[in-house]
Amino acid sequence: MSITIVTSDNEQFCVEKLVAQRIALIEDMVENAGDRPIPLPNVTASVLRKILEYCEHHKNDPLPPYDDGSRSRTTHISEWDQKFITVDQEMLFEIILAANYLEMKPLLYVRLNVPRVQCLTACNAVAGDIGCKTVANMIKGKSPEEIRKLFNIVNNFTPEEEAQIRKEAEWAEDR
Amino acid sequence: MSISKLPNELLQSIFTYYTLSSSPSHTLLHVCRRWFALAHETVLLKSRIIYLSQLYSRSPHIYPEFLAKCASPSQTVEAIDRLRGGWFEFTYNSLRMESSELALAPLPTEYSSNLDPWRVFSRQCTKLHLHLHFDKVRWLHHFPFFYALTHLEIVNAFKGVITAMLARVNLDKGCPLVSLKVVGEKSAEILEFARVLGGLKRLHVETDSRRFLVPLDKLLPLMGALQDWTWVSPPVPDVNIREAMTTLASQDLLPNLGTLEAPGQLVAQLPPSVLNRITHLELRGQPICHGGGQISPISLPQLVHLTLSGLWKDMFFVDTPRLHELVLKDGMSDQFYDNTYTVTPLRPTVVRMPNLRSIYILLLFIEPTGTDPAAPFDCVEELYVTFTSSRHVEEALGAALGYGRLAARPALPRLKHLVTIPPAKREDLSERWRSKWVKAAKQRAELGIKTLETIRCA
Repeated sequence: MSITIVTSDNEQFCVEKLVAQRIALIEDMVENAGDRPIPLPNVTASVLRKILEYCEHHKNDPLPPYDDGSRSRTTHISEWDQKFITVDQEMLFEIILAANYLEMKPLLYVRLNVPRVQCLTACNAVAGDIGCKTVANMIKGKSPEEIRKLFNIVNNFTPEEEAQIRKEAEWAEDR
Repeated sequence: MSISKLPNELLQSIFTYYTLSSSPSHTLLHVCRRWFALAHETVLLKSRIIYLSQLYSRSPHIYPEFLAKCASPSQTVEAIDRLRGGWFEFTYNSLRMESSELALAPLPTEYSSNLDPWRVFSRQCTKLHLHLHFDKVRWLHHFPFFYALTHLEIVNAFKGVITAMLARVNLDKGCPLVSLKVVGEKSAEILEFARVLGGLKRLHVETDSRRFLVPLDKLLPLMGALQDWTWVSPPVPDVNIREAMTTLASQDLLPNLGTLEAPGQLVAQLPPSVLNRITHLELRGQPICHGGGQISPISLPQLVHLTLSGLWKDMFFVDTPRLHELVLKDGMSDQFYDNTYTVTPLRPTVVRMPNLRSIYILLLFIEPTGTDPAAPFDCVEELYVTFTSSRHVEEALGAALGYGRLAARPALPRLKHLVTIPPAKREDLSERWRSKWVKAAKQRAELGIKTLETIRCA
C-alpha cells in the first residue's frame, strides 16, 4: 500500500506506507486525508527525496527504547548515516529543518505504543538528531572565528563585548 | 539556507551535542550575539558556578522577603534530580541581600552538613565563586569537603579564608582543582598547600599590598603544572624580585607555563627557560623599563599574543618574531603623539585598540614616515578599534585608508577586516564612518590593493 505526498514545489511522490510512517506528521495526516495526496508545503522535492532515502534505509530498524537520558549523551553517527548526511551545508540545514517540521523522531516511539506526550518530551530535544550531531561535529575543535567563517556568521559583538565575554569565559571554561 | 535560519531549539540541540562531545562550551559564546544568548539558555551550558555571598545587612523590612525567595534545599534536590545527577551540571540560584536590594546568590548559612543537599553540593560542585564582604568568615568552616571542585575563586581573601577553603579540597578523593583565583589577598597562607598548588593549571593572584605579597621564591617551585599565571601586585623593589630569581636560578621553573599576565618588571626577571615557552603575555603595572637605563629586549620566541596594559613603551623591550595579535590598551597619559612608536619592532597581523583616545595615535602606527617607507602595522590584516573620541577620525582615517594621507599610498596595505566602534552615545557616526571606509576601499581597489572583506562600525 502506498500514499502520495506533494512537496512545496508541486512534485508528487508515491511512497510505501511503511516508509512514510517513519514520519510522524504524515502518519497523522494519512488518517484525515483518505486517498487524497498529502501536501507538505514546507518541504521541497530535493529535501523530501533525501528524507525518504533515510526512511527507506531505516524502515526495518529495531526501535530504540524510551529515552532514559543516556541515549542523547553521544555524538556517534553510524556509517550509513554519515554517508547519507554528507551533503552541502544548504541541504544539511534543509534536512534539519524538515526533520523538525516532520516530527520524524517521535514516530519511532509511537510505534512502540509509548504515549505520544511522553514521546514528544523525549524526542523534541533531539529532532533532526543526525543533522544536529553533524553540525556539532563540524563545530568541534574550531575557534569562534573558524566557526564564523564556516557558516558565514557575522561577528556582531563590539570589542568591549568580546573582551567581557573573554573575561567571563576564563571562569566558565570547561574542566 | 544557512545556520542562521535554524530556529532556536534546533540550534540549542546542536549546542547540546557539541557540549556532549567534551568540546569547550565557552567557544560558542564568542561566535555572535545570538549564539551567546542561546548558549546561556541551553541546559547543558548553563553556568556551573555556585555564587555564595555574605549578607551585608539584614534590613528588617526585606529579610522575610529574602528568606521567602531563597531556594530551599528541596528545590536544590529537585534540580539535581531533574539533571539525573549527571556530572555535567549543578546550577543553584538563590538570593543575597545587599543594602536594601535583593540580588542573585544563595545563602550558605541555611544549610548544615547533615542535609542531603549539602552532601550533594560537596559531591557535585565544580566551580565555586566566593565573594566576601567582611572578615567574619567562621561560617566557611561549615563547608563540606569538595570532591569535584575544579575552579575556586575567592574575592577578598581575608585571613583564614584560603586555609579554610583549600583545606576542604579533598585531593585524596581525587578532587581535580585546576584553577585558583584569589583577589585581594590578605595573607600568604596559600603556600601551606603545596599539593594543591602542584596540581593547578591556572593561578590568578591579585593583591594591593606589599605586606601580604606571596614570596615568589617559595611559590614558583611548587607550580609544576601551571599553564596560565596572572600576577597583579603593587610595585616591588627590583632587588626583591632579582633575589628571588637568583635563588631559583638552578631550577627548571614553570615547565608548562604558556600564558602570563604580570608586571613587566617581573617578566623581565624571569629566566629565559620560562620566557622561551610563553605564547600569550599581558604586561601591566610596572613596566619592563621600570628602572630606566639601557635594557636589551627580552626574547619571547614563541609569543603569538601580546597585550600592553601599562606603558606602551614596553613594546621596545620585547623581541617577538612570531607575534600574531597585539592589544594596546589605553590608559597612560604619555601615549599621546609619542613619535617613538613609529619605530616599534612589533609586526602583528591582528591589532586591537580598545578605548583609543586619539586617531593620531593610531596613525603613528599605520602611516609610513618620511624616513621609513614601511609603517609598523603594514602587516596588519585585522584591525579592531574602539574610539573614545571621534575627533578627526572620519577624515583622517578615511584619507589614510584611501589614497593615503601623508604618504602617497594607502595605510594598512594588507588589511582585510576593519572594525571601528564610535564613542559611546555617538552611534550616529556608524553609518557615516562605514560609507567613508567603503569609499576608501574603492579607492584602494583602484590602486590594485585587495579590497576589504569586512567593514564594521558598530
